[in-house]
Amino acid sequence: MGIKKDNKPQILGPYLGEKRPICQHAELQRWLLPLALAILWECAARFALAEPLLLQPLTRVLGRGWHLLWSGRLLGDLAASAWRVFLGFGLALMIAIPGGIALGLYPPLERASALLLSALRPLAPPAWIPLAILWFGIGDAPAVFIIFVGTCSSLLVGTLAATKAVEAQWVKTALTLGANRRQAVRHVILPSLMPALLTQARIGLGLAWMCVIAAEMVAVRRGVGFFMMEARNLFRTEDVLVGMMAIAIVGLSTDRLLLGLEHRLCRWRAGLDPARLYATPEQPR
Amino acid sequence: MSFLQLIHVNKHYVANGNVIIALHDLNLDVERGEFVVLLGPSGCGKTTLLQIVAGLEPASSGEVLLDGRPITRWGAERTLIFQQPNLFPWLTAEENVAFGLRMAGIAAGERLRMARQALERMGLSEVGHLYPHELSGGMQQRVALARALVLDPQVLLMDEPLAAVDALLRSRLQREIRATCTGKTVLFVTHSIREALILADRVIILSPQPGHVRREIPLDGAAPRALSAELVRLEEEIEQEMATDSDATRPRS
Repeated sequence: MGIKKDNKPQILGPYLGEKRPICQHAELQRWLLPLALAILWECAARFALAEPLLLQPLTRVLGRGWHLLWSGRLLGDLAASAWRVFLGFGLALMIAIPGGIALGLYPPLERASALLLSALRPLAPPAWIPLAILWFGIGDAPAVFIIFVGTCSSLLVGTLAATKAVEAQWVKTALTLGANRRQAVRHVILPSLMPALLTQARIGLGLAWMCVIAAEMVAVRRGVGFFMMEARNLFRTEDVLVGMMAIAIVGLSTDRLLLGLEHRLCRWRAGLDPARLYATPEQPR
Repeated sequence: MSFLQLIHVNKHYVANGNVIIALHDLNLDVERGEFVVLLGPSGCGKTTLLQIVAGLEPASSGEVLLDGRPITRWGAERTLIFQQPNLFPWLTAEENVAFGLRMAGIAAGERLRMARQALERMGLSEVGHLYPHELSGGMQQRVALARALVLDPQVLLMDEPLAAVDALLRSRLQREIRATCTGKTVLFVTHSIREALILADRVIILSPQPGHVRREIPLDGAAPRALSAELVRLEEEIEQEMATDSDATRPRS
């Protein structure tokens, strides 16, 4: 190869066949920005660059978080929120995924629902809060309802798009190999949708966590959102920040969990195989 | 009565309010065990013709009969092989070959045994456990061929199966296809005149806009045949004939 080969990442590199950044600094690069931000935060709060009411030092927030974790308060609220996410998002998955596939497989259904779906989508989850309280009062039910309506339409539209994007040639091939319509759905459409569905689930789960916090700020007496609102009312800035960090950490770990599942279930996808992802770039051909 | 009959077959589409005639009054008889090559430029409706025989598209009018019975929909007795191998990427090579057997309800152990045998016949016994993206293009197309042949179809339909492989591999695969399809009824589509002359028992030349049979050329001798001086002469003759109605000289209606 005439082109100079070194491990230095370049702009446009990924388009020019540059493999994964396997330089020895890769792990450092990952942590550089968060670390810098943490130091900036700590210094800003410590050296009185910011009003203590507005920002507490990171170390104090972490200490407070540790304390709340062991006192059980934070875990209780997290569990309450997670339970609502589980119910609302689970319900949305159970309805939106079969629904989206059905819409994609049968055009009259799609035509019949297109207007309604486009009209519902711009309604942000908080827009449902007043109605949710009127209908369900106080407690888990309105929060679950908001998570459901907030994630359902996006899941439905995503699943529909993925279903329509399944290779027509795969379906035709299955049919000329003797499959009937039901078998083509079961043995071609469903397995080929797997990666897209897992991606949809990841996006939807993030959305569900956004919804639950919004819902808990008004309609409930427990949950991370309620915890943060209460902390704000008592001017406990560090508790507000603890709540935000707790959500971020839970969100990140569930996302990683689903990503791992995606790798495991969809190993057949070229380039998704973890062994291939992290293979050394220089392999003799 | 011929094994496969197309009688006064017409096919038209409506696209953007215009009626496009893909096939016009097409008649074709294929005998049992015959290897027929449909030759024509792009836009002559040869793919449409295969899709109609495969049962994936209905003809607008006319009759398509297999063994005297009208073709109403798709079925494994008329397997279609595409230009792209279209292997299912979530299945291994073996599972791909076993796919049609699975659809037919054959038990897991038996279909795996048959799939392995079919792969072995194509010289691919080593790659059964690999996924399609781990195979080269030529291997993929051979797996696709094995996947069709394992079903022992009455008619094998091939839509430019070699158009996407490189020239060296192409002539080797031509020989392999002809060897493995001995005794089978095959309808093979190509736009390569030479490929048609090497492979066919009979070449049908189609003309575009609307697609119709322009000329039939029965060929002597066992295929695949070596390229003789006579064959090259015939190739040039056909090339000149086809140049007159190549769609490069006409606007697409």
